[in-house]
Amino acid sequence: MPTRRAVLVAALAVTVGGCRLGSREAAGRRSREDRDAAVRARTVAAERALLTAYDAVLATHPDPGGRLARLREDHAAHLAALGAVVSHSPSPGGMSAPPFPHLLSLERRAAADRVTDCLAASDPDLARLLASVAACEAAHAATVLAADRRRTGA
Amino acid sequence: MSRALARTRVVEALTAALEAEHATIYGYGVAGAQLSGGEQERARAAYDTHRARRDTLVALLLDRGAPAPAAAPAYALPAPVRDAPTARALAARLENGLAARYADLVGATRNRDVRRLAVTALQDCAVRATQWGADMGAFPGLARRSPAVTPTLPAR
Repeated sequence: MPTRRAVLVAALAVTVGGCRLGSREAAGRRSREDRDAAVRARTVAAERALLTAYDAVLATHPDPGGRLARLREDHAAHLAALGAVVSHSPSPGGMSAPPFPHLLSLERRAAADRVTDCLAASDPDLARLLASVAACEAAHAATVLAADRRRTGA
Repeated sequence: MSRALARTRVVEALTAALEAEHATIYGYGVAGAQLSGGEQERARAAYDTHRARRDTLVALLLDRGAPAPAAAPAYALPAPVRDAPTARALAARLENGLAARYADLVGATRNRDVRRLAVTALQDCAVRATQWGADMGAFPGLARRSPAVTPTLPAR
């Protein structure tokens, strides 16, 4: 027969163990939330940089058919979906680099970075959104590349 | 989420993606016959990519002890395919439908390898649909939900 003391000690051990498990779960949840917040922040920063780049190109180059303006609007939609405020870049500044290769490399890098972020995301809805953003940017890169080829006759 | 529920969700999403790949492979066979030159080559490359991905999905389902549905003998096309423009439209629609299945798969799994397969497949679908002339918009895979083509007869 276990003594009263043994039962009490055992009960106490279970309680302490349970608390420890609970706090470990909470810590795990916090770390997942922190990681998702970092992923969101990185995506918002990248989308803002893309908007700025498109605004700079649109301010200094013709956009027949409004093709680039439509791509810009997709990035604005990404920011809105991430709950970020969309503003028109105040000062596009001088666009020294040739616009198409510049936009192409930005879109390609964004597409690759969003894949990385999608793999890191914990929240399933955030992961789906980032996967879709990654796909949009891969498609943008294809569109920019095709437009550049048409322009240069390559 | 319980482990059993998580497994069910992954298996459902893998199965839906596999069924859409079967339909897409069938559709590219139809579309490719109406295309020529570089476009026919592009359709051929897409056909090969989708077959490879179908095989990967079959393996992932079998790994999980789940049945991998076979292709239906034939699929109902959303519109008749009789020339290059209708063939391009079908290809774009197939890629678009598949994109939605891969977006669902991303959300259904925490397995890094499966999620990587899903997100890169989603990118590939969006690029191909764009090359076939579709405007994928800001959120490929998240907007349109209905399958592009449906089996005319169930798989054996």
